[in-house]
Amino acid sequence: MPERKFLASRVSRIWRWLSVSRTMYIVLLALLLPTGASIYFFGYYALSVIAVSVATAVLTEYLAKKLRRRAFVMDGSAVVTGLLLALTLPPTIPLWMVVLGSVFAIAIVKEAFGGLGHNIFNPALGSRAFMQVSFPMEMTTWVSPTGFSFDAVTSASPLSEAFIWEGGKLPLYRELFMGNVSGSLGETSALLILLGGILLIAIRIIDWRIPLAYIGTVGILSLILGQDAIFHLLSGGLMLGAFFMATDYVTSPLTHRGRLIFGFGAGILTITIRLYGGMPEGVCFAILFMNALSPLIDRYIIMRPYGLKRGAKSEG
Amino acid sequence: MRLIPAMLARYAKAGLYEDCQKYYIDYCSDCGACAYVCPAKIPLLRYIRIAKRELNKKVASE
Repeated sequence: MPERKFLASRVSRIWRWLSVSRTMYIVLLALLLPTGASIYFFGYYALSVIAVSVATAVLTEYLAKKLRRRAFVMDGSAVVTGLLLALTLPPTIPLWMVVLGSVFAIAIVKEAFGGLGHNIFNPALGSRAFMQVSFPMEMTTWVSPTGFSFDAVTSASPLSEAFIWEGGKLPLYRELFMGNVSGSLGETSALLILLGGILLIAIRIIDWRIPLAYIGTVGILSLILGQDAIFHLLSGGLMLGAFFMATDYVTSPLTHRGRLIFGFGAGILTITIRLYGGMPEGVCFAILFMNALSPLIDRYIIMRPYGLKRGAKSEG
Repeated sequence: MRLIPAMLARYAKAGLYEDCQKYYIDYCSDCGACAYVCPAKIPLLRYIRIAKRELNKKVASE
């Protein structure tokens, strides 16, 4: 604040019931669907990965706030970050790596930039990228879902070249849709992510433009490039990324048009990385790249107020 | 009104009042709807009013 003289103004003292913490807890509620799927498909170990990640995130947030001499507010954002990070991790990830990733997400990607609202990158995805680079082996070891039995079998994720599917396309789509395939903890069940995402769109917590532009671009581009569009839509982290990561308020553009551009760009990057890049999956890096680009998008998309003629000068 | 209060407040906070004009600060009618819906409870209207006052001061002194 430049001055403290005008601290009180009547109109700005009433606030809508929707606050940061309420938003976060609603997102958390929607995330319980894919979380449930991860525990159902990958068993008790999934539960411990999630618990460790969330607990570490909240603890790190508390310590970081203490270190920065700021008030610690339990607004749920650390819980969401910890949960989202856990959902993007492979089911066999060692717990100490989960701790490291969770600390990195909160301490480096979020708090080092100034905390909630000031981070350039989505904390969960930023930390996932860090873990992918630091532990390339552990981050790409996938097992097929075995539920609550303990004998996990290593298997290739659907997007990797080693993936072999015996049987028709329709059963494959069904398994991908329900989530009975190998992959990261929370990304496998497109059905439950869609349910959670549509819930958030319906109560207007997230903007439909980003997921629609993102998923639409991936679908159309994979059709144009002669790929199996339905397979590309249902596999990998696309659904989780489009509904829960790309829609993060802090790291996505402010305007409607900017959000369409954001989703479109992320879609192009995802398909490019998937088809031509060295990695089987590109959702994480695509969204991170667009995160870095969104301040630039906000710079160039300036809305024209109602009633103002096209091309009219803003000054004056 | 299709204004972007987040950008207005950002520039006002940094003291870059002239840049607020790029975002049509003159078209803001002080309704306070932005401050009402703000989930982070940022006093957006306060920032915008400070920017407007500083801009008026500048015009008056010219």
